[in-house]
Parts: sequence; structure tokens; C-alpha cells
Amino acid sequence: MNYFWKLFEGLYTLFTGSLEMALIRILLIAAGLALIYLCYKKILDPLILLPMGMGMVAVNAGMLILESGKVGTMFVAPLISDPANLLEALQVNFLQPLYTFTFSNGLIACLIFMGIGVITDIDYLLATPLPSMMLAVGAELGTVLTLPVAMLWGLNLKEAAAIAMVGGADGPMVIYTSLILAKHLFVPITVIGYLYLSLTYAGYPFLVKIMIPKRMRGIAMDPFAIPRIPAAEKLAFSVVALLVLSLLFPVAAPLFASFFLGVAIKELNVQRFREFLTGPILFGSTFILGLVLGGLLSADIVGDVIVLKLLVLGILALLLSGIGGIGAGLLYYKISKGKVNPLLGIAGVSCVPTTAKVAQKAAFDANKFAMILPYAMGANVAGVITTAIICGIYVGLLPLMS
Amino acid sequence: LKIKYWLIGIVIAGTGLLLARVMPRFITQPALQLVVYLVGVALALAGLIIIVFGISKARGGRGD
Repeated sequence: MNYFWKLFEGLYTLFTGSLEMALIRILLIAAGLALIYLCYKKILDPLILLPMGMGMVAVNAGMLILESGKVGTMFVAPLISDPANLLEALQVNFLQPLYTFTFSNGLIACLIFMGIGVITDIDYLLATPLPSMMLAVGAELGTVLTLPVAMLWGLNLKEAAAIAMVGGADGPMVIYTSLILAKHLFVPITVIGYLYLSLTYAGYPFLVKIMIPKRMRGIAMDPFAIPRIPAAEKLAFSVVALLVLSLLFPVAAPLFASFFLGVAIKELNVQRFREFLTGPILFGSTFILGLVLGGLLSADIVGDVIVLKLLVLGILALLLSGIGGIGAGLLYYKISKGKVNPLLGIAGVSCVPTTAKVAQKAAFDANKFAMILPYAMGANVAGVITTAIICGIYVGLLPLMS
Repeated sequence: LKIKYWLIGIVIAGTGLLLARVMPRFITQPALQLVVYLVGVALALAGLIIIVFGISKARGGRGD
């Protein structure tokens, strides 16, 4: 009978391990199925969440007893550091090469940033630097306030900063900060960060409706009123900004280099590189990211008490950033005497391009003629740069302070 | 392109970089190090914003 059960190790391990672990596995399988369903219904963005949901289902169903006698999977072993074990894992685990060579060194974050740089239009940011930065700074409320809250809840300074970075709503930055400041929490923070960032598409519209009256949401803004900036000057600014920011925050220099390289390729209109970065690189990296994140969401990796704390702190960070961004949007609306749609505030949360799409959709729902996407993308870019600066300050300064 | 803004911005950003990256090496007091670093960061970023004011903006719609 025992031999019969061992033929079906996925089920066998469900009954032979602890009850707690079995329940977490079932919960994660159910969550994976829910993600797939919500992607099918177009409620969630399928770009990351579809491969992530499939990965979650497979990794938690496909648990088996390994040679060492422990329950594990053949997907990925993120906590290995010993070279001999790592070599073995690279030969055995299906996602291990992707995780080791692209994920755990931040390469995937940089590749995504190159793609984002190519699709980013920095005209609005350069035309209205102060309002854009005001929106972006407001949208960093969660990044700043979650840090003391996390420390009060028992996390140390570096761990608190790593989870607070979720409030910056920028996946590559979350990967980067947790990799440098809290490597032991890298996996749960990254997984939680990306899970929540993907959920902003479903959650922020409700926050927007609660905080901004419909008449304000429907304010139309002329997309043709955004001034044109000569490509040569955008390129020159990108080079100077890359130089200054890299000198200022060397630890975050790979991210700055990736982003501004993308911007430079766009402004120089290097067509073949544009196609390469926006197609295979951006979508390929996003697909790999979703799949690896799903593979990391196995019960043996996330079934830890600290994960519960990180779940609460992550959602708090994003909620506060959303509130801060909308608050800054409402302030901008007042300053402009009602000419600016306060929805731009939510786009200050730098989840490119999701929050800009959320702002446009909310405006469209209130007024069929309200086109605010070019402005919202400007606030989005300001958010990316502000988040990169805070990331640079956190990873550069906090190790010195602690 | 307003070259005056670019030059002022680059000088201010450069001063900020010196304050943030070089000066703390010559200061022994940690609190003062932190203050100098933060002032340097603020100056460097302010320099970038000043440069932005020197960028030419063509009104009258987006041709591209």
C-alpha cells in the first residue's frame, strides 16, 4: 500500500507532512487557480500573473521526497549558497538556471528597466519637472512611512527598508533593494512585492473612486498641449542624469544605466534595438519573472511566520503610497485651479505602466472624452526616477547607518 | 537650449556630488557625515532640476 502511494508523491507528501504545510500547499494551489481565473476574466493583468499562477499550482502540487529524505520540488532552490549544492541544483531543478543567472543577481530587473526605458516618454517630466516630482514624492509615502512601522514590528533597519520599498511600487527596485539589504528575505519580499504590484491593477481603482469625486475624475486634459522637447536635449539630459545619479548612488548604477540606455535608444531611434528591447527582452523577461515567481511560491519557501508580517507591511506600503499619490494629485488640482485631473496622482506611483493605465481607465469611466494617458505616463516616469533615488539612498546609506 | 541653466545645474550637481561622495571621508563624526551626505544628495538632485529648466520646449502640439 505504501509503495502504491509513493507512485503519487504529490498526494503522498500532502498526507505525510505536517497539517500546517498541507494546508498552506492547498491554499497556494487555490490562490494560483484564482489568479489564472482572474486573468482569464481580464480582472488582473496576465503578463506576470498568468505564468505566476500556473507556476504556483504546479510547484505546490508537484512536491516530492528528495534524495535527502526531505520534501521539496524540482523547480528551484533559492536558498542554496554552497557551490557544490548549487551545481547539483542547476543540473536538476527546472527553473534553477533562470533563477541563479537572471533573478538572484538582479539581471532580470535591469533587462526590464531597459525595456521600460524604451517605452518611456520623458517629455512631460522635462516640461513640468516640479509638479511631476511633487506627484512622485507624494506617491512615495508608503516607502517612507512603512520603514518605521516595520521597525516597530520587530524588523531591523535593513529588513524594514527592503519591505518598505514595495511602496515604491517598482518591481526591479524591490528585487534590487532586498537583494542588497536583506538577502535572507529576498525571496518572500520579491514574491510579495510582485504579487501586490500585479494586484494594483485591481485594487487602486477602488482607492481612486473613494478619494476622488467623479466630476474631478472626468476632467479632460489636452494631450497636444504637452510641449515637444528636441530629441538631442532629451538624450543630453539622460546622459547627465545617468552620470550624476550613478556617481551619487553607485549601488543602483546598473538600474540607472539600464533605464537611461533604454531612453537613449528611444531618442536616437535605433529601430532594431527598440524592437529587440520592447519585444523579446521586455516581454521575455516579464514572462520569465512571472514563471520564476510562481516557482518560488512553494509552501516550503513561503510557509514562514515572517512572511505574514511581510504580507501586511507590503500591502500597507502600497496603500500608503496610493493615498499619498492621490493626495498630491488633489493638491496639484487645487494649485492648477481645477485644470489638472487629480488622477495623475495615482500615476505617480511608479508601477509602469499599470498605474498610468489605472488613471486613464478611471478618467474614461467618468468622462468618455477624458484623455490623460500622456500626462499620466509623465507622472509615472517621475515616479520611477523618485523610486530609483530612494532605492539609491536606502542601499547606499542604510548599510553605513546600521 | 539655455546654456546658462545647464552650466549652473552642472556646477550645483557637481558640488552636491563632492559633498555627498567625497566630504564624508574627511569627517569623523557620524551625525555630521550623514547631514553632509544628505545635503550633497539634495544639491545634486537640485542641479538636475535646474538643468531641466534649461531644456527648450516647443509649444503648439506634438508632431510625432
